[in-house]
This record gives sequence, structure tokens and C-alpha cells, in this order.
Amino acid sequence: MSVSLAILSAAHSHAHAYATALESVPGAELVAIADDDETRGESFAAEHDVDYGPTEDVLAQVDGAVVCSENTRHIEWVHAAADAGVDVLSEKPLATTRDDAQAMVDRCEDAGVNLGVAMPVRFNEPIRRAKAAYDDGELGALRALIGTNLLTRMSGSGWISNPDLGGGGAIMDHTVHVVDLGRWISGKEVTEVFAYGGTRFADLEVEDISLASMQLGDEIPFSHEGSWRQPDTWDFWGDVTMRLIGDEQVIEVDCFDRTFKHTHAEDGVQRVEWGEDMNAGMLADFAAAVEADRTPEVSGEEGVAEVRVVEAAYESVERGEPVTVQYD
Amino acid sequence: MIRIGLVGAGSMAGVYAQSAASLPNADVTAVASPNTAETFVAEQVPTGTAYSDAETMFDKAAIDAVAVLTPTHTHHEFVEGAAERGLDVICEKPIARTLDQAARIRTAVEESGITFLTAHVVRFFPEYAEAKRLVESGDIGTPGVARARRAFGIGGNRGWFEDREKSGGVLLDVAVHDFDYLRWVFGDVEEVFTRRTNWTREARSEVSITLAEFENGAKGHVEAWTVQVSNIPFTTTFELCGDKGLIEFDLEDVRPYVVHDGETTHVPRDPVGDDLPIAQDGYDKQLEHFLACIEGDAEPLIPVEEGIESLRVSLAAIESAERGVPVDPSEVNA
Repeated sequence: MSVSLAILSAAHSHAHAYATALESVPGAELVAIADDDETRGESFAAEHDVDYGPTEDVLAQVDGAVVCSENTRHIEWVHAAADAGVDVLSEKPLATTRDDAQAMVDRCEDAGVNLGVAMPVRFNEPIRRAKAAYDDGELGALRALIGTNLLTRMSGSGWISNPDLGGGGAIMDHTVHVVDLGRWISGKEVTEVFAYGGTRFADLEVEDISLASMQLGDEIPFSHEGSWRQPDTWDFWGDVTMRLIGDEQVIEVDCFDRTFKHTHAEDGVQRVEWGEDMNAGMLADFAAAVEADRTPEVSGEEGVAEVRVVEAAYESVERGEPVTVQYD
Repeated sequence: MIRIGLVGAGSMAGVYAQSAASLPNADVTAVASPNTAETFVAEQVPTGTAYSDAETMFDKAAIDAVAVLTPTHTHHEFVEGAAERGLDVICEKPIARTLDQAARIRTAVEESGITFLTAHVVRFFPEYAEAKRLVESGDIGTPGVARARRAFGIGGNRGWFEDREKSGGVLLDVAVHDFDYLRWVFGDVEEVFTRRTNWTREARSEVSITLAEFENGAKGHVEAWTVQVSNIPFTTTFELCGDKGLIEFDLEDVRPYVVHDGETTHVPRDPVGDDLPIAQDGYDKQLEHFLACIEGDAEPLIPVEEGIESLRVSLAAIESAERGVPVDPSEVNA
């Protein structure tokens, strides 16, 4: 069997990473791209040796689609896929408002297609081991979670920091990764958020500081920083870390710390990762979900819950006080 | 499904059984070992059959391929036995104890036409493989100097490893990993100069330091040792330096997952077994490659000749240590 896939919009640089990762996913093949920017779509098609064409035609020839558009446009592409009866994996965050996110879930449900959210870090082996340690009882009761997803300053360049396209700044861009891990590991929802924003590192319309103090369920403190603050000369593109404090163990996860150091004679130091490709793991799950007609690892409903946390974070920044996350 | 018979039921057999279990198209169906096959099968491969000798397993077991995991000085006998029956072979490193034994392996493989892979697993460790890829794509420029280190502390008896007649000591058992890797990355070795010392029985505590010159003019430093300071963790490091860049790896720096449990702090990163948190480890990738070779989807990355060339470097280092002079691996006659 082979599941044929399309990418819908290459606005997000992850489109290229996913195309490369798909080369190593057995049973899945990237066959086409649709894009509202013709130049970008055609150049992507040439680079990855896939078809470029009108959205309808592209959706007619595939079993599943991966949306890599600007954040505020996820909804258009997901709706197009749903209307064509094509299972769809949306880049994160699912949407920039909970109304959009909920509308996407409803539309997919009505159309009978499976909707998932791209959360590759769930396929990182160190974090999987931490979840297993908690699930197997080795960690004991989970008492607190401290996470980071720090990025370089240049991460805020381009449409991601254009409020009309990105829907926000660092808080919108990366809060959901660590929130997703916290929800997944603990099995609890984020109930309250207190957050700081701010613009301190780059000349942006939106925030480049993202700091959140949350509560999981009734009593678990859970913090996150996702600022675009590392100097661009930092030795890696970003991190994902998670400290799990339990009453039996403390587990510290540094998801990408499987690297060696590469010093370029002219360009300075970079760390090079040699761990498994988490994007390939995520896309293999999506292809398997399409094949089996099941929900991908992270469902649309989970995506909605995570967008609610982001909205609460922005509200907290606005009001300067903790905000209860609304789950209706 | 490729059915595999393990020859040997020591520590490597456990590693191979684990790797086979992780692959959809591998099944360990038989294990041969004079004394411990039954215990091993009961604990690790309950669906397998135990044999007290390999020849019987080769004749009677339902197997397609064999993993030779016995003491080094016996590899050739089992490769010959498997080849005679047309069974494909993955053979633990080093390929043999002597060049004569290695020549017998070459003859057996050539005459039978079996698929043969020398298990220089380091080539499949993802950190080493990624560094090789970078060097090959020009990221460090022209190679200049390579350093590699492989060391560990061990408290007790190391069994047959301590007997140089059987294992060759650290230069053949331990340093051969890095000799093979550096040959793969920097090319053939023209000369080695080695100092070696040991201060307990045979090769129990032994230190070797080898300087190497590659055919392309690059130089190397390879350090391999085992000591009785038992809390020295298993350590591997490498540096690959060229005119345009430097790659540095130290297993000690790999800390993706740290567990504090009230008594100890554990950082799982042993590349042997399922300790290091990575989806597919080097042994899994190596066995997967061997199966792909059997199925005709790949060519063996380390065929007999490659195994022999790396053996030659170790033998040259041993000769250098004994004679106190630099030795050209192509002129070794051990």
C-alpha cells in the first residue's frame, strides 16, 4: 500500500522539512503541492519533484493533505480538504482563535474526514521515554512540569510576526508545543494561565517574549517559555526541554540533546543533531491514520483545547492577571 | 521473515535478540552454545530452539542466516560451517584473530556466494554516521587530524577478552572500532605507531595509544583502554578536523534524558542495548542493513575485505607496540 499525500501551501518552512522527511517514510508518498502563491508553489514542486496545480486537482489525486500555510489561513485549507473528502493534518497552532479551530473540527466531522494537528515532538524518543516513566508509575505522582521551547530571534521574521497572518507573536507561535506535551503526559487540561509577553529583542509589531505559568488540572504547576530570544549565533535552532517533578523521581528531558558540535572555520559553532527525525515519525503516523481511517496522534479536538490555552495567555497578558481557561 | 540462528549466547547474543525483536522481518529461531544456550533461550527467545553445538544447529534448525557472536579466535570455524550450508552470515567484529583465519573466511564466502557482513556497528551509530556524511559532503574541508577514544572501567573478570591469544587485547577488540570508522571516514591507513601497557593479568587492564597516518596525509590519534577503576563509564569521543571545520563528539555530553531517583542520577546513553533514548539504535540499524543485503536491496557496507583491512590496522598496531617501530598495515603478516 502507499498513501499519497499533498502539501497545501508552502508558506511555513516546515513544508520543506516534511517533504524531506517523507522520503524516509515507507508507505507514504508526497505527490503534489497546492499553493496560493504560484511562484512559491512551483519552486517547491521543482525542488521536491512533485506536481503543482490548482487546489481542486491536487486534492482530487491524494488520500491525505498536510497544511503548511500561514496560521490564520489554516482554516481555508482545512476546509478545502474536508470538502474534497481528504484527511488532513494541520500545522500548529490549529487556528489562531478557538472559533476558527472549532469550526474546522466541525467541518471535518461533517465531511467524515480525519483531522490532526502537527505536533512532531510527541515522536521524540526522550520525551516518549519520560511519558512511559510516568505511565508506568516510576515517576510517582506528577507534582510539577517546567518546559521550554526557546527559539532564535530571527524565528520572528517573515509572516509569522505579521498579526494578520501569524495571528500573534511568540505566544501564538510556540506555546502549543509544550502545552501539548504537558496535556499528553499528565492527561489533564490546562485550567488557568498567567502569562507575560513583551517585545525586547527584535523590531516587531508582536511579542517576542512568551512566558506562561499554568495549572494542569486542579493542582499541578506547569510553566513554559517560548520566547524568540536566543541570539541568532546560538549553536542550535531551538530547544524543547521538559522537567518532570514527581514524588519518586525527577526526570529532565532535553529533546534535541543528541548532537555533536560542528565548528565552521568561518561561520562559528553549530550543534548537529543525530537523533531520529521526529517529523518522519509524525508523518508516518499520519499516513497510517489515513490508511486505517483513524484520528492522527493529535486530534482536532486536542488542537482546539490548545488554542484555548493560547487565547487565555493573550487575555492574561492584556489583563495582567491569571485567566481561567474556558472549555464551555 | 528471515530466520536467524545465533552462534554464541553471551552478552552480544542478547543485543542481537533485542534488535531482531525490533524488526518486522527478523526472527531469532535458534541459539547454539555449548553450555548456556538453554538458559539464554528460556530468558530471551522463548520461541527459539537451543542447541549445544553450532554444527547441529546449522543442519537441523529452521534458519536462513547466522550471527557469529563467539570469541574472536573462533569466528572462522563458524563462518565456514555456515557458508558450507549456504547460510548468510553477520559476523561480530573483529572479523578474525589472524590474517590466516580471515583468509579462510574470505575463501568460504567467495566459494559459497553467501551474503556476509562484518559487524563494525559503529558505522551504524547515528552520531558516527552523521559525522561521516558531513565529512563526505565537504563540511570540514580537507581532513587534517582525527582523534578517537573508546574506554571503560570494569571491576571483575573479563573472561576470554583477557587472553590476547583469543581477543588480541584492547587493540584488536576495542580500538578496531575506531580504526574501522576512521578508515571509512578518512581513507586507508598507511602507518601506525602504537604504545601499549598493561599492569594486570594479560589484557584485563590495558591502555593503548596509537598514532596513525592516512594515505591522504591526514594524521590520527586513537586511544583505547580498559581499567579496573570500575566507575569509569563507557566513554566514546571523536574529533574530525579539517581546514574548513571541526566536528567534536563526546558521549558524556549526550544528556537528552536524566533520571534522579533518590539514590543515583542516571543518564542513559550506553549505545549497546536499548539504553540510549533513540528510536532505532546502531545495532538495530546494522541488523536491518544485513537483512536488506540478504533480500538484495543493499550491498554489504562492510564486506569481508573491509573487515580484513580494519583487522590489518589492529594487527599493525599490535606489531608496532611489540617492536617499537612504525608499521604499515599492508605489510603485516600475522
